[in-house]
Amino acid sequence: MNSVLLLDINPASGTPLYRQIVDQVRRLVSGGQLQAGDELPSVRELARRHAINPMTVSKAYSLMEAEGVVERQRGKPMRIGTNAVSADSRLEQLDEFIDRLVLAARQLDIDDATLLETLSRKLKGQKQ
Amino acid sequence: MTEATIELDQVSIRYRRHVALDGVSARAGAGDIIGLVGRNGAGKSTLLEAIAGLRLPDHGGARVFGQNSAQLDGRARHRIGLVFQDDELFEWMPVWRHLDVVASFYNNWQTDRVSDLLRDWQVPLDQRVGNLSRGQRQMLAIALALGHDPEVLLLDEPVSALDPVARQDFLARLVDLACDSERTIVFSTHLIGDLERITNRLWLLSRGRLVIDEETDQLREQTRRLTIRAQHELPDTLGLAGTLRERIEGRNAQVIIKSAAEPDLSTLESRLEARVEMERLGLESLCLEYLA
Repeated sequence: MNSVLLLDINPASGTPLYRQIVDQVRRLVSGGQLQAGDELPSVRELARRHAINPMTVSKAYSLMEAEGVVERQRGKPMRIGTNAVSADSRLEQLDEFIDRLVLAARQLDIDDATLLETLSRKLKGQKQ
Repeated sequence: MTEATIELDQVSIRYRRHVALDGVSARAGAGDIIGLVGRNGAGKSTLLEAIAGLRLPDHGGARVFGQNSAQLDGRARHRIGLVFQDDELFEWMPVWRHLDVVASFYNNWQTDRVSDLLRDWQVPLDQRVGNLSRGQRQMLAIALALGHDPEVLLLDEPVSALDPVARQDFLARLVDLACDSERTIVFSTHLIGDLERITNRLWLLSRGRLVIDEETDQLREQTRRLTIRAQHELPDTLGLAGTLRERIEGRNAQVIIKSAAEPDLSTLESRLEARVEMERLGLESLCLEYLA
């Protein structure tokens, strides 16, 4: 299957575009939407779809290959690697969001106890 | 970087007493899409003209495909596409006639690509060039510059007169071009938002000097804005490593730094007795910080 990779590239953000691609693919892998063996679109397909420079996509793919998230196959599309997911990498991927939450809370001058309380209330609310 | 298609070596150009370019050195290779930014009069057009060989440097030199820009041979010229602000279109010719004339100079003219572009952009072929709107005229100039499938494309504010939809379409087509073969594209614009997606490198000119020549993702990665709120009056300067700009007002400060290593916030917080917040900057805010 040549997966339709739905990425949300935000060019105006301060996060490098190649990073956005890498992070989102890793998240899709952790979340199970992409599984070992799934094929990724080619560099050009992805560049065209998101109107971004092919060199940027190529850099993201090389990085993911080095990290073992994807595997290159001769003459075929890149695919998700067999050892792409590990538990701590899942937690690691939340870091960026936690940092943003902490920053926003500081800017709003919300103390840690209130933040934790709100967070745990939210989590409980989601479960019900 | 792959082999350079464009090389600038200490290029300086003066207009009488005005220094338009001051010792600019840079390289671009196949696959590069370079955004050229700077305020009016910073030297953007002069730089593009120097690359194309339309303006001779007083010092230094520009090379394209390894040849001196001032003496490019016919073959090299045919590998370059230009869209400049003063287009030299024939006012009295109908658009279709103009296409034929330009096409006749090239043996690799891509009639389909050009007519597809003009059809999509709704440029009327039977209209005289002189009667086109400013936007339509710019579209025609772009289509003509792409017709011979150039490997080096120099665009001086190519989208300034285009409406937002045509602009997006143009940018998507540049990516298409970059995808079908490796080219070098340099384009100047004031619309920095347009550069965010498609460029991989930024050249920023300030008063004739090239103050940024860097990969856009690296700029995003290494430039950070620190907002500092201290309990006491802050000193005149904070002396942080990699400071580009600092604004200090009483107990508050904003500092833009550029460094490969992430600054250690907790050390800084205790040294200044302050709360420090850090954020990364998008290309647009980053350019504004440099240009202001």
